[in-house]
Amino acid sequence: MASKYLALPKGVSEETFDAAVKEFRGVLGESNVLTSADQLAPYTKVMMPVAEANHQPSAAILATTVEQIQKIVGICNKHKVPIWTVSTGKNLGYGSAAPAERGQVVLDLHRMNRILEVDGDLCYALVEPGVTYRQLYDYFQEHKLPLWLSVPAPSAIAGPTGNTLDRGVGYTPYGEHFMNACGMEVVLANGEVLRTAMGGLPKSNTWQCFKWGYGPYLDGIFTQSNYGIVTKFGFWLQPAPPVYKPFLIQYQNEEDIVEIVETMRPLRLNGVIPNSGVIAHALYEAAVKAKRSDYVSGPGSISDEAVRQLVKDHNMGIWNVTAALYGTKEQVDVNWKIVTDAFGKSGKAKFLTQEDVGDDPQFGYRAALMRGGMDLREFNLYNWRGGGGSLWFAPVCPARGSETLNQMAMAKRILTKYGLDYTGEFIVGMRDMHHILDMLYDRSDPAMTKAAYQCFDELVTEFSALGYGSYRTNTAFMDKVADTYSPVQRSINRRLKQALDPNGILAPGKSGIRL
Amino acid sequence: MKVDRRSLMKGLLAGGALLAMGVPPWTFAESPARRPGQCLLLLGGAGADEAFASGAGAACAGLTYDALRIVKLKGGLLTAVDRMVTLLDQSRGTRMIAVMDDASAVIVLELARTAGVRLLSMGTHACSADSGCQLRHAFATTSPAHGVGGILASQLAADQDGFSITEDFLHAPSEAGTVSGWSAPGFSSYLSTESESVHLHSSGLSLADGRRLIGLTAIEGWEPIPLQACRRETVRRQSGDWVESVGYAVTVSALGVDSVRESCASRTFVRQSPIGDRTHPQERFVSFVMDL
Repeated sequence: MASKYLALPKGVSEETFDAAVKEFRGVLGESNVLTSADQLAPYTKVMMPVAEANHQPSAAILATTVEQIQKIVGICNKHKVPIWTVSTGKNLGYGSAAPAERGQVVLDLHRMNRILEVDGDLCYALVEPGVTYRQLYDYFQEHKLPLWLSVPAPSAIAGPTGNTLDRGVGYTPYGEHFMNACGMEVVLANGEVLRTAMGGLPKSNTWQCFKWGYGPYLDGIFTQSNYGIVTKFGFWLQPAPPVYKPFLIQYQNEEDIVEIVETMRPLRLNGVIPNSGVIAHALYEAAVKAKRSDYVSGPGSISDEAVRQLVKDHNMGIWNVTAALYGTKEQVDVNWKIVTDAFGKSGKAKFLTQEDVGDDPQFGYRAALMRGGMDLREFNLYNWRGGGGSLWFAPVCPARGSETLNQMAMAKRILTKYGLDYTGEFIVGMRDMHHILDMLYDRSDPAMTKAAYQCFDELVTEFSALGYGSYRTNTAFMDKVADTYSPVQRSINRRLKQALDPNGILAPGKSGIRL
Repeated sequence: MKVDRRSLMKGLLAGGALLAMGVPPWTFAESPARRPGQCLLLLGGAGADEAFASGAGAACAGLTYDALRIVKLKGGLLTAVDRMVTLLDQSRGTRMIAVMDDASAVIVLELARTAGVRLLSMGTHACSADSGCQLRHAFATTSPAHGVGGILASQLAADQDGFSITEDFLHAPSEAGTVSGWSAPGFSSYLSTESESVHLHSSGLSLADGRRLIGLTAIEGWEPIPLQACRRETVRRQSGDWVESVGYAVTVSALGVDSVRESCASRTFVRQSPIGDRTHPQERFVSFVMDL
């Protein structure tokens, strides 16, 4: 007989799940426990090339207080029901809000969305997990606070807690988000509430000022993991600079990335370019200006000739370097001269500033993101090929020109083999680059969907074999990526899981971690 | 955002547009029991907006439904998120039919979840030359009661072109021992013997070729669905414009017309044209039906 639920947690009977659902309703109220198909459909949609049934939640529950979460973990321990926690659930291309494993209950914290504190002098915020960047942005405007956020591409609809816990990045000088995290409150699997670092003091007044506290620094084990549920999150904010100067530098050959990286690295390391700039391939930027179907028809990846035509038609570079300068006018003027001198040496670079480009959409969305603005236009990517398929492949690359060229060439070769386009960019750290590649495919085409899965699998295998590990991945490939790291790492992660969550109720499978 | 609060039907009738659109002379004898009180059509700025709206208008005409409110989101949703949030918030109690591009659809789904919207169906529609089948439709539908695939297949079957439609039901209540299937002239219908929850309707190509075209090769055993278990859709309208047909089918379903409910968790319709497909302009869009 078919179950009344869309799915059941692994090893949990319908009778047991009935009891758990009844108790969830007792804690959260009837309307905050969702089990019907039309309520769960928005939690089920994924962009990965796997059946959505693999990630079908059994229920979604909406909590708003720490006390509710403590009771929920108690119920989960009692009935051995696993929960998959999301803050705003905007992990697009990494699994969205759907759980890693079929049958897990989504614990949705988007209604736990109070801005608890914003300190305009010390430039920090303390928020609940459901707070979005948009909320904070509006709060700063309303209170006339000269503070800037660092946001990822989903900006307005995502939030700092979830993005930082998954170690996402933004594009401002505060773009390495976890580096700018400071203090967490965590509900552990046994219901205890931990405040990390300085938050451990009963009258703490430095929780969001000093990261390290005393003794082992624990915050890291609550990122990309399943050891607790973060219910408060502190992070640092950038004081708004008096002058902001975004710029774009175009190069016209794929091999030019060697020169770009070798020029940019010293400027990043010495702080002349302070932000996480981006070196974007033309195909990453193209969708804000053009349609793929204008340049290619039929199966297969887009040709180099077509890309050159596209670049020519829309005044783009094959590589498009966007970064920004921040500070006083004097600082920005001096640093702009250093930047133009450095990049101008070979004569290959074309410099463009706001004055040059007007309302160019490519420059516009990059300039908005580099000042922490709310701008979703990067997601035009999903119109490039269309069909709703997207997988982010995210290997880390040393900040060396030769390595970036090698990664680009490898990725392009593998993608071309499967008929997919190289839609990639490098987000520039100081010593590393996040090579971000959006594998776009049409989910309505079964053959392309199968090819996308095989392609991603091959990318992970080939890159890791050369020492290029992924810093983040989607829920369909978490075990595969975890396996590319050492068995000792996996063993330690598992032993931590056994110690902190002996019943395995918190997000089993996250980052390949389970009992 | 331009909100057109006029009744679409009144506008169409005043303009004499029904005849021009080729609306058939039939109407439903009775209003569908599941007809929503308020219904809104959101045009998200996709290239398909106009034709989709035309199909939606024809569906309303056939159902004598004159309260469809139309909202146009000019410039797409990526630059109008706040307006979309407001629309979702201010339209509680309304059934929304929406059409938009792929990128906007991803964001709308996220906003819908946050707003606590109930999603009844989502369809991905493509006409492109980069696949084995030019015209493709994939629906994720919450239950057979909100099925769209069968209605759309019946519309498209009247045209000359080939197509594929897949429809996955999130929840398909089983009635033990009962088999029910869809039918249309020229189609052969099969169910999987390994798992009775998959139905395949094929026209113009062999079972093996149909399975290959839609990627159902993993399931080996198939048998015909008994003829006596099959029913035809009660609504049919020939358009000649596939986007308009999608607008029609999605709207008919959204307005509560009972389509043929199949006893399956997933069904596929695949048709190959005997004379070869016409070449259509490339087009892609996503449709939604949701209760706000």
